[in-house]
Amino acid sequence: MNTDNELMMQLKGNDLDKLGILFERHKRNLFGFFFKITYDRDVSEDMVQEVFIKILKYKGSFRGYGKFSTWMYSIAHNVSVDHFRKQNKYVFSEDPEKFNSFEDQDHELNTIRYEGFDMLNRAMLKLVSDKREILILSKIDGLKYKELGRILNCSENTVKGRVFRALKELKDIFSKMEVPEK
Amino acid sequence: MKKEIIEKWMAEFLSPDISADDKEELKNRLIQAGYDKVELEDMDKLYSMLDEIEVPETSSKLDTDFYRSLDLHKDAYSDKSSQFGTFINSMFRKKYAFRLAYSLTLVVFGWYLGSWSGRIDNNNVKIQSMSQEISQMKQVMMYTMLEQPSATKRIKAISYTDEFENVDDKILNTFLDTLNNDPNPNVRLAAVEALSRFSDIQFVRKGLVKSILKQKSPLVQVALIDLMLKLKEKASKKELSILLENRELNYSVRNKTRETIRLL
Repeated sequence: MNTDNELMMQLKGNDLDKLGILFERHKRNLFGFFFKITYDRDVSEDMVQEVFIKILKYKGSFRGYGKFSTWMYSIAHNVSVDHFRKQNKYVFSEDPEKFNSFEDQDHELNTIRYEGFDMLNRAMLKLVSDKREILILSKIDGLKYKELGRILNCSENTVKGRVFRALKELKDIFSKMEVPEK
Repeated sequence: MKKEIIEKWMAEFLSPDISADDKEELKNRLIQAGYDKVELEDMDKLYSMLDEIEVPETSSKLDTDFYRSLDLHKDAYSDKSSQFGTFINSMFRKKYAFRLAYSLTLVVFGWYLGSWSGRIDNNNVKIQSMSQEISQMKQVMMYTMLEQPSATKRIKAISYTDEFENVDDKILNTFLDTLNNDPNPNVRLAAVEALSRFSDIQFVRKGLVKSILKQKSPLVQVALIDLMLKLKEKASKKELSILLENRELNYSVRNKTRETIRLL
């Protein structure tokens, strides 16, 4: 089986079908990443599409020295930043309308709408999006702090500090929340 | 102790890549540096909880949109002449080669006839004839592409219906067959979408209803259930009720089915 880097090199040689293999390999994880920072399925799917369109557009800039996933998440990070910039949503506050709008989305969201939408999710939505993003990025399998530094264009130590501070803030928000009555 | 060092140790302590021994050592170091043990454990627990955030399944739209977009890019990138050559080579290995050759001959003959006669009055008739021949060619291409191992090509084949002047029963039956037997759920979803445009035809509608019980993929099941609701197809209530009897039915599909039966 071809590695991601091999597929990218073939893609660079205009074998565009290889993008389909990369899509099948990574769509689920990318979608999970976007969903956990936007909590919106449709938006997350659009963002996944955008990442793959950009992979195609910028395939020439992939040198193959580093891991494909690091390069892909760099693109995903830029897509995320653009999204929140456009939406002017860098600062999220808990919005009851947002929760209610989940009721209108289809069955798969309905399964998570209440039970999954627990204290942790509400606490996450109170974090600003870049803090939410670094926490989610740091949980992605195979991405080490050094690679997060490459994705976010900062040093490994800066990443460590940012992960810690985001988690500390999440914990403070979480601790202040009351357990909802069942 | 410097705040930066504590933050660095803490991030390393949380890292999933660290060994159990190193984690324990860092924990002791942090406690010795004055970090509260309970808070440390709470942070570790909270960080682990992030893995438990539930993520819904992606919709079929994601795949459909991606492969459509990929096809558009492929069309733009590919060398048209070499692609045409490859296509012709593969076509001649297929059982439809004769039909394609026949269609091509007719098109060329039609064009030659049109240019030779030079009679303007006949041009419209000939253009119409050519248009029919091209439509026939596309049908041949569609059947050929439906036999391809690539799911992308099969999806593209189904999307050709948008360009057909007439979609006959044979094509619709082929799509029903694809809906019930294609191994790829994305191809089956494309078949649902294509067939939904012909749902006013009785045998297509019946075929769609019957297909509900033949599907194993939750995505295709949901697409069909949604379609039944959109068509207000009360005849599907029987199939939907039988579907509910399946103990292994996806939880979300079960909810959707119950709701659809209620609404119908």
